[in-house]
Amino acid sequence: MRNRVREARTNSGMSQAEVAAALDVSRQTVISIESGRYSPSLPLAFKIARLFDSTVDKMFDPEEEDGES
Amino acid sequence: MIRTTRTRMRAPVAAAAFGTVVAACAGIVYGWLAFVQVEGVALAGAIGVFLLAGSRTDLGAMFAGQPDERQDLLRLRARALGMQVMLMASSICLLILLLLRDWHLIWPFVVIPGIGLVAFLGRLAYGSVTGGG
Repeated sequence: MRNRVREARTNSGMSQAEVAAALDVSRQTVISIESGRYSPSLPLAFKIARLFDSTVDKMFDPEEEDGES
Repeated sequence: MIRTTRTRMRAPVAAAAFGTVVAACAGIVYGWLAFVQVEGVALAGAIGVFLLAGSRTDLGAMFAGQPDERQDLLRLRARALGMQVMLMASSICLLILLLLRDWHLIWPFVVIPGIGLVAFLGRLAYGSVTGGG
């Protein structure tokens, strides 16, 4: 699944570690989400969207299959 | 994720406790020297697990008992693979023992996968999935 997490993070000036701390996940998970290797659960997707003051459908694009899960 | 010392201690304490039980069994059968040797290995293992649990890695988070949803999924898949490999190895051993007609050694290769199968079916019957993973 393609997403705009990296774009949103760089626009907000946050580091991966800061995003990880805000979402209560590991930095490796943030890296996996950004690279499209991991598709987050619905609750985590909502947390990501809220963190960047956006919506789930703007952050994630289900049309493009990119990850493993 | 923030790891508390309490959760980080669980796996090492369990490893040390299990190692002590094994060491006690070894001590009863082979004497105090065997107890000291096995206990030494168990304590070294427990210290290794404690150090690993403090590392900022996927494995560290799992040992610390505080994985996030991706690490939890990873652990679930690793467990499933481990179970499948164990079942396959057990089936091969059972087949070899059947061909050799060694009836005395067969039971562990029937009982242990049997317990696994009961647990698997029990979890399916329970049928509830919670969490956000």
